[in-house]
Amino acid sequence: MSVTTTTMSDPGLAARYQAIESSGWGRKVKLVQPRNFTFWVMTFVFIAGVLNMVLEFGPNLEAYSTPITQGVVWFTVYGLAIAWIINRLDRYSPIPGRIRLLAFLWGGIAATFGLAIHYNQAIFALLAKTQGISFSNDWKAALSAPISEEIAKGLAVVVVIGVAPRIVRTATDGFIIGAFSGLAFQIFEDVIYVLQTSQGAFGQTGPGINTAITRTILGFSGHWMWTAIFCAGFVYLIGRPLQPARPGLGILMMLLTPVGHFLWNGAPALLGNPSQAVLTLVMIVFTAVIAVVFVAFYRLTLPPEQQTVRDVLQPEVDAGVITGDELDALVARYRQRRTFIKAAGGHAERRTRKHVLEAAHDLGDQIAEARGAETDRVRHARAEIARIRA
Amino acid sequence: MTTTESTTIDQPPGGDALPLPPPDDWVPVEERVLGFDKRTLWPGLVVLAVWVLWVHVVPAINDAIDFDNPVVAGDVVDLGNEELTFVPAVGWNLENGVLLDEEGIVPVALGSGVALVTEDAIGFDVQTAFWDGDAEALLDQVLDIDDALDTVVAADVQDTIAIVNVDGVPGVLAPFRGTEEVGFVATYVFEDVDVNGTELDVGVSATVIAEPTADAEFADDVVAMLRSITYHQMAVEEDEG
Repeated sequence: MSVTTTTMSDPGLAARYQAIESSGWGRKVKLVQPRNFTFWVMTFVFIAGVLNMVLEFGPNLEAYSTPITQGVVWFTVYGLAIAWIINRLDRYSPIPGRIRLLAFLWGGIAATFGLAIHYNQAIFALLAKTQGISFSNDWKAALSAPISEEIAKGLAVVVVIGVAPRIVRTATDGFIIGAFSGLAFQIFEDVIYVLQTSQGAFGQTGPGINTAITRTILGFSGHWMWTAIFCAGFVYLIGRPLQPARPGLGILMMLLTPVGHFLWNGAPALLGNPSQAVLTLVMIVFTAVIAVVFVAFYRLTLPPEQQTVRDVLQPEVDAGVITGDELDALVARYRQRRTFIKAAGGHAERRTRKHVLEAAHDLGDQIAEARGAETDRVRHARAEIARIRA
Repeated sequence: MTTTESTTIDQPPGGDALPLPPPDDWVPVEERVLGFDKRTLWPGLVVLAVWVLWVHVVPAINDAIDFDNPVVAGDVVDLGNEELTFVPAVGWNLENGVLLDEEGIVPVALGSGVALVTEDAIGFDVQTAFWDGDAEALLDQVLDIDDALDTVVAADVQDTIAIVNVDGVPGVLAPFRGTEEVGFVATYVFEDVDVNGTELDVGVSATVIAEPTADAEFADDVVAMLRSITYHQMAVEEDEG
């Protein structure tokens, strides 16, 4: 195969093409791939997960219909709110909706019911048999979940690399895939917890509501943050086209997750049975620490994503469609972006700047989808920017 | 990893676009093995390995080990704050439940204690939770749930029987006789239990399910266990000096 690498007359365009090709931005994804081995394994675990979910939930639907309905309704709303946050985090070269959905369903169905639940149940029983019931009661969550759940949720990034390798190009991609997988795992687990609380209270619904409130507050820094860190760590470990391998960092991130999960689940026993007030305080501080670590790792992953947006849109700066400052704001972090918008002056000007940035990102999406071609949609996206400015 | 994901631009863009990428499902001939894309093997194998290990190997190890935890004389199960307790029958197998006087463990909170003891083809399952109502209402609730879950079929339930524990606290019991299993659901409600200064009622249910062939000699054990479910508020220790 002869590879003709040409020197392009316009280095800006060359960088744009390179960025589109290497980032996978705007790539369409086909999920059904009969020749893809991972596709078949994934499908198999999904079917096993759905069947097991029906077995676990099915008999309870009639007996505990109220708590299950309350849990499903509340955690759906909660899940949508966090999904909105994750989508905001994925604002540079976004992952296709199908892949986000795949990661979500993997975490909620395949990871939970197809994998983790079997392991957890067996380990709980094994601990009680070999170490005693009290030891099992106190430590089973800390000794099972950090391994089983982190790996099960984290496999989302392995599955996506298997079925859509062109999509996972940076650690940020791993981060977002992990966040969706972890989020789904979390909300399915939350519904199970509400059910279990009701089961342990003769079917009364009140205690389940307390569980839902607790899990809502403490879940803000829950599975979705852990799994985001784990999956980004996996990308660092193996390296991807836009992310040179950094095995040390990758292993650190992948270990941090189960260790943190162990400390969280084992807190009551580790702290020597503290009072409820002390335990709550520790958990709130822990929640805050996790959120800070999450943001720090997110920022760490960003540079390749930001560079992609810059490369794709730089020719638009050269052509005068957007300004250099606007591009800087577009690739900048949230706060710098806000500062740029605020600096516009009055309300109307700030609004315009905000809309221009959003429209510029739309233009980037269209250019990437068209693989750099001048299509009607690209021209329209460009015209929109002009219209907003007018 | 996937070496063929070249980031080189193979062709000049002809001025205004990249060439179309290869279709996702197109497998280059040199990457085929048994009809599959070689490059997609490792992620699938990783997932498959985890599935085999967790869904088959670990549960198989668990199944190979018997639960052997026989109750010895003097064992008392803590159903909450060491105040709500129950005495399991000697020789039965304690499969769930925390014993009194265990050191260095997270104590059992009132309203959360559980126990399960088994013998031969009989299971004696105790659940506790705060319950705002009497023992009859609790029994109705437990039977409703059992009926919905098909663990006890309503049609098999006979009339209820009044019972008392060893302290004389009244409870109520509903025997059932089905084709597959026989047994009863019994409930007590211990009123005005002191929970961190608040007085609450704690409900207890004991569900006994036996195969119809279960040995009748265990009936005395079952009755004794049922009567042994008691609540004694711990004496408030006086501060000396």
